[in-house]
Amino acid sequence: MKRFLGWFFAFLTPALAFSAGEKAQWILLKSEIGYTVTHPLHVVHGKSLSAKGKGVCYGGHCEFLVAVPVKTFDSGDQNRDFHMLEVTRAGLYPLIEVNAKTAEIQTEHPPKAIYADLEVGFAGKKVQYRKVKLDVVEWKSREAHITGGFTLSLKAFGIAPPSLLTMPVKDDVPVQLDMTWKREVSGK
Amino acid sequence: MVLTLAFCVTAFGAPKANEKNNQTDAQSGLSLGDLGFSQQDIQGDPRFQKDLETRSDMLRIHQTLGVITAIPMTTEFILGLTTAGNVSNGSQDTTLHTTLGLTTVALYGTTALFEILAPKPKGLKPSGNTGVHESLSWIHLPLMVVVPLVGDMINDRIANHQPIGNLGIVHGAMATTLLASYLTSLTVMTF
Repeated sequence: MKRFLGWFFAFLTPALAFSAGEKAQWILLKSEIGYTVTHPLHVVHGKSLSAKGKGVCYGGHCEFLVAVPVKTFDSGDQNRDFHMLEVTRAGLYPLIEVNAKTAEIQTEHPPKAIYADLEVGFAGKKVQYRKVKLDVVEWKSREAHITGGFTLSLKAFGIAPPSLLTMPVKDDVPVQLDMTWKREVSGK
Repeated sequence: MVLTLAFCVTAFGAPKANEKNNQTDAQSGLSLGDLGFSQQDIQGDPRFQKDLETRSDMLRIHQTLGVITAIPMTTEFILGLTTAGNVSNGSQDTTLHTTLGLTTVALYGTTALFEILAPKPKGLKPSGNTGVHESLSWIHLPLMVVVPLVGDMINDRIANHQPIGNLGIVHGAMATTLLASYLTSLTVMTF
């Protein structure tokens, strides 16, 4: 019987330890998401401060969801912004959704960069971007300031490039991300 | 021994089961609904999209007609300088200048109508270059009414063999302001 109890505790204790593993949640504290549109006559920058996001780390990887209403982007010209809403079909698809997957973020040894696989839902279409580099600018005990970017193609999202005086904008639209995430840990 | 093995399997199986539960939790925790957006932010509005498309179509026509209008307007200005010279030399023929002027007014009016009648989204306030573009219309729109009226007064005086006085200078100065403000209004949209 003693032998049996010995075996029992020997096997059960690590199992209990595993099951009580940490589950880290991330909340998007503040952000600035910008885009740059290039036209032969001028370059336009637009930005939104209204993104919301959450992240969860479990089982060796992390998943994040960030969403931002298309109408919150401001390029400094409201008429142009309304035209942007039209071409991106924001009336039908009012949110830009970004699902990101990364390897688990080691908080004990903060990384200098994070590589994420992104799935961007925009204008009714989803496009994937692999291994997008996000730089860790600052890492406090429970906060991470992350910047990065990727270039999206208007064609990939089925967006007809807007034109001025018959000249369309470039298909490539660089997107800039500047985000501060807060980490919350809960034992599960 | 069988019991021991059963315990081991149960014990080692537990993390996997928990992991699966965590995944489910995580997936449900990462839904749009949990991000705190209002229903208005999340739901599409086909009517709003339709209005945006109508607006864009009308503004595209406004843009095209605006560029087209600049051609007769500039030609009319140059023709006005020539006509003024001819009139000062005793000519009474202002027909071409008058006809082209009326054509310009008609084109200008049509261009303006496409902007005025385009659906205005709620909360639209002119800003940036569009704001400047719209402000300049407060200069060229009234001038587009006054300049032809003064031109008509000059035509009447010429037809009645009366002296034009300063009306020609006033007409010219207003036409210069009109053309300058109109072309600036057009150019500012390209920056």
